[in-house]
Amino acid sequence: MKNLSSKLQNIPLKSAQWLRRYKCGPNVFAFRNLETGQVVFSQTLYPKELDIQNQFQFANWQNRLPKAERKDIWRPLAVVTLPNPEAAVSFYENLVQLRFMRDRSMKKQANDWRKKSTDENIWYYGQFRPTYTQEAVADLASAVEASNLECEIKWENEWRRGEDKYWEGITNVNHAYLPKYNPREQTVMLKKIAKEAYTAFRRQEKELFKSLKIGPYAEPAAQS
Amino acid sequence: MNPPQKELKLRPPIPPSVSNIKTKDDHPLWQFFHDKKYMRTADELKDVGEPWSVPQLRRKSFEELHTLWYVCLKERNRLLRESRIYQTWNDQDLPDDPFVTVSETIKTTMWRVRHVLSERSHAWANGIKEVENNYTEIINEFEEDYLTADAAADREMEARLERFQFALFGINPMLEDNVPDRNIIKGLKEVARLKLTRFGASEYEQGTEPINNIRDINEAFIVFTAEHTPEGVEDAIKTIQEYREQGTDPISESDELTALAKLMFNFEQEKISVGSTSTKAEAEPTTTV
Repeated sequence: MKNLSSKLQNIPLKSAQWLRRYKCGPNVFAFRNLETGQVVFSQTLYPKELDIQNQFQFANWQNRLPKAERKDIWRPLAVVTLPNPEAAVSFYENLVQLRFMRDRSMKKQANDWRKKSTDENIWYYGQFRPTYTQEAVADLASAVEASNLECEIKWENEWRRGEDKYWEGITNVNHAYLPKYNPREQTVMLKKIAKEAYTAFRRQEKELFKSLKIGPYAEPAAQS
Repeated sequence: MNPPQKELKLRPPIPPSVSNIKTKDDHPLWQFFHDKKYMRTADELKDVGEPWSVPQLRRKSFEELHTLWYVCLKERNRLLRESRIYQTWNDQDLPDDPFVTVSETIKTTMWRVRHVLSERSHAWANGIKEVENNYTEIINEFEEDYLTADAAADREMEARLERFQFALFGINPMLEDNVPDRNIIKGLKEVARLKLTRFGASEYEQGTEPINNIRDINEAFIVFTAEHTPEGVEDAIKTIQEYREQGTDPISESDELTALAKLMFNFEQEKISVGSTSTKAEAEPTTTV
């Protein structure tokens, strides 16, 4: 994270050790704000204040600081499942890095790519900015490619993923969809996905340990 | 150990796309589209006929009108959707929007369907009012016709009797569809009396008491369900004589409703058992052969 400011480096992230200790799945969640179209990436089942501090460091009048308390207007955009917690943490870090690039280091380039209205604005009506969600999808694509690992993205619907041409060069991704759910049971649904991911990861890890004969499957040393 | 990461590069925004969405062929919203088309052309709407006329609609049954109404309604939904798109894209006042023109034609059919139905409704209400006002006159008139008609007119009279009992007492020709009530009991007795007067005047066995009147609902039901022939009514009279010889008291008026419900239940059960035996009888030869 060489490009990040000193302020950001001081903010602690959920470490891989933390994810293991609290039996969290190796997931990264992307939440979409229904009112503004802003997206926040999170390692937890709902966006936290910490995530917002990380990802909206350069908030301004047209990219306002959203509130984590409004859990009712944060809806899952996508859930990424990685093979292990270390990969999940670096995936999250990459997403924060990309957000930094958009807001700061490559601000001009990012702004040139945005679709403008007839008045040269990135909005059409009210506080809603459609481009933020589209940029988040592009960031997910970039982060998946950079991770160099087999991962699965569960999208909220077929529409969000965009056309296949944008995903052409990226071979290490498997697209899937979130189940149909009642918004009231959003966290329950995410919790279930996270639990499944954790179980799958543990099973895989166990098999790996068995094959390598390490950890609890290590052969006892020969008694002399 | 995870493999080394690739370089992180920024990408242009990825807009959402409908091309990933696969719609089911039987999706309910397809009903708003003609032949799964976004819009029809004006040429496709040229061969639209005239609206249904009132005399044409008068010949149709309620079920047919009901179906036609919903066919029209669905077609208007399609047309108005297309019309809305047409007006949006043209962005100006269009005096001859083809979709609206066709929709108006269908609207004419729809008000005519309602007109025909209201005609029927008024006719029904008037008929009911007339029956209420001239109740005894209608019964007397029918009675006179029914009793004076000769044997050749038996079948015609049977049909008229069925209509008479349905119109005045609400007795459905399918007996099992009726719900027992006072009016039906009254009707059963009236019909039984008429049948008995028409056919019961023939000779009866000597030494037996003549059956001139209906004592209770049981006897009325026996005559009512008898065939509309002299022989049928004669059989019914014999049954009544046997019933009277048993010496049981006639069913009182307060118990008539329960008795009728039982009678109708037994009648239905008998019908079912007869039906099953007849089908068995039909089935048997095929199995033996």
